[in-house]
Amino acid sequence: MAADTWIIVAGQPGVKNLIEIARGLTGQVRALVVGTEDVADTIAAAGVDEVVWVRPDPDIPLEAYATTVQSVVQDNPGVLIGGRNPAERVLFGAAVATLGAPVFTGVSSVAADGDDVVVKHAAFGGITEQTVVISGPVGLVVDGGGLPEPGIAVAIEEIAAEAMNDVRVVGRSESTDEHADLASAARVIGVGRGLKKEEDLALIEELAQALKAEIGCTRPLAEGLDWLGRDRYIGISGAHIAPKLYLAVGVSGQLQHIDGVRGADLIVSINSDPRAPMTAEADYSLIGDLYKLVPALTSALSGR
Amino acid sequence: MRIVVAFKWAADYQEASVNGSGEVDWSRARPVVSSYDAVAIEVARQIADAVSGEVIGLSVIGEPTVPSMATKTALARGLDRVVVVADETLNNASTTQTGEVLSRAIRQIGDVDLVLAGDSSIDVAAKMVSSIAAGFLGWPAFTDVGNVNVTHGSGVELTRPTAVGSETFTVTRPTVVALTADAVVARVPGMKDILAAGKKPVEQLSLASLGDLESVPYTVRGTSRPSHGARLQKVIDATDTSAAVKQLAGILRDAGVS
Ligand SMILES: Cc1cc2nc3c(=O)[nH]c(=O)nc-3n(C[C@H](O)[C@H](O)[C@H](O)COP(=O)(O)OP(=O)(O)OC[C@H]3O[C@@H](n4cnc5c(N)ncnc54)[C@H](O)[C@@H]3O)c2cc1C
Repeated sequence: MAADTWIIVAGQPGVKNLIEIARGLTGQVRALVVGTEDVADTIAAAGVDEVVWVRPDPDIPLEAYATTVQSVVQDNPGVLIGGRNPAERVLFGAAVATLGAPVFTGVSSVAADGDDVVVKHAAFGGITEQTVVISGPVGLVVDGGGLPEPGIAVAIEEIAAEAMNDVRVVGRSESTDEHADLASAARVIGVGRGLKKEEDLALIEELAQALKAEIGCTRPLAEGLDWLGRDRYIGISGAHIAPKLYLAVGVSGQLQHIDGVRGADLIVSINSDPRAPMTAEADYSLIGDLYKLVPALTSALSGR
Repeated sequence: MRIVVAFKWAADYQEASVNGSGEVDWSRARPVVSSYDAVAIEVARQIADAVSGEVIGLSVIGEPTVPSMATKTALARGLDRVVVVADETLNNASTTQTGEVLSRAIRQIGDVDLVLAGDSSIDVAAKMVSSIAAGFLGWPAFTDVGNVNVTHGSGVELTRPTAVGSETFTVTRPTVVALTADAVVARVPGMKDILAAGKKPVEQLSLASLGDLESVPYTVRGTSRPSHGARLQKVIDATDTSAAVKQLAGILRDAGVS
């Protein structure tokens, strides 16, 4: 299908991967931005052909602009690409529904094949890879991948923002934790429930310093134990990362977690249980107690 | 207040097996009401109890008949009744088709104030069904929601994360909300709940009664086993801590990552 592509941007401009996938297709690349002027400006310079901008009222959630998104894509059906953040998924879902387009997550490649679109994607939590053929509109959910490279800006067409009624913002909070940027980190240490106490995170922080790594974690540490922020957990429902090194410490390696680290070049595991599924998902596994191995590795890396 | 909880009767993909050509065998995987959906049912029950509302479970099943385990297990968790769309043609329904069928059934049920769902299914795990269903309904949706409270009448207040923190909204109109798995702790059904579940109403809607679907179909051209699964799988003996970390430090250096 030589149709055009719509990238749905909601609130934040970290959509590098979405633009890259769109550029690999034929046809124009259009971005529909629901967000501040800064976001629209960043996207306009990100290598797209056209920007349609909806300026949201700060007192109204981005999600309430779903019908505006629908009216824009309706007139111009094609390939739809959206990100994985909450508001992104909602506006993208609305667009997808308008066109009745099937959606695919975990997309690794997209190509036009005559009038069809061929998509290769990880299915069922990544246990298999499917190649699917669609002759009509299609929706692709793609990991943001950080800020796009700035280039020459195209013009921005602002359109009237019409939000759904009876939906209001009544509160905003900013977490005091430093915001984690796992997606673009070159080295990530993932810590799991092998860690016994919150205080023991100090061991991991020292190793992270020696390795210049960001710290991520498994879901239980962020949801439930609350030792680390939600933006630090990795997996199917959390961050998807593609670092040069992923070092899993006390992580059992359940598929839901592994789904988020498949893009890593090198995976190393430190785990006391040789039968932990993590061992099969790693390039190298140190089988032993993290309380001995982590401090020793920190010393070895610091050259002490 | 009328609350619909969309739940899926499905097996966890971790229990499925995959052969060398990437074909998935679900035959030994046991379907359940997932922990996500159990949380959505619990939240709905708590809201309904607070405002004397009604909680209706809604499920789309790709089989000609409704497995009684599916409805009983969900009902025992606190639903008042269940509506099911069961049809063989919905076997392997796409995420968009499922969202469309849910939206049609929600319209058919009528007078719905709030739709709750788990944030993800445990088999497909696309995390898109609730947003798509809302898109078909023309309703707002919210995903990754950690808590929902009734404010006044049938209005709700809910919180969802942003990149830097969270935002709280009030919604005083019908809406769809997808909940995180830790929004509340779901109850464990007791013997009484399980016995009562058998007596609660189960209604089956025919797919035909919901009208023609608009979702675009697609075909699967092939499957393959994910290649990135092929890791080196080398085990370093760590009985000698310092030798092991020295070896690892060397590997990291050679790989250019330290
Ligand atoms: C629908 C759904 C979605 C999910 N999504 C995600 C997700 O996105 N991300 C995610 O991470 N999880 C997710 N989970 C949870 C996931 O299934 C696992 O429960 C979780 O990843 C396990 O976390 P863990 O490895 O920290 O803990 P555990 O499974 O408890 O593993 C701890 C590991 O530490 C090792 N260990 C213990 N002591 C030591 C020691 N002293 N030294 C070295 N090793 C030690 C143990 O051998 C074990 O392997 C999801 C679950 C469901 C049902």
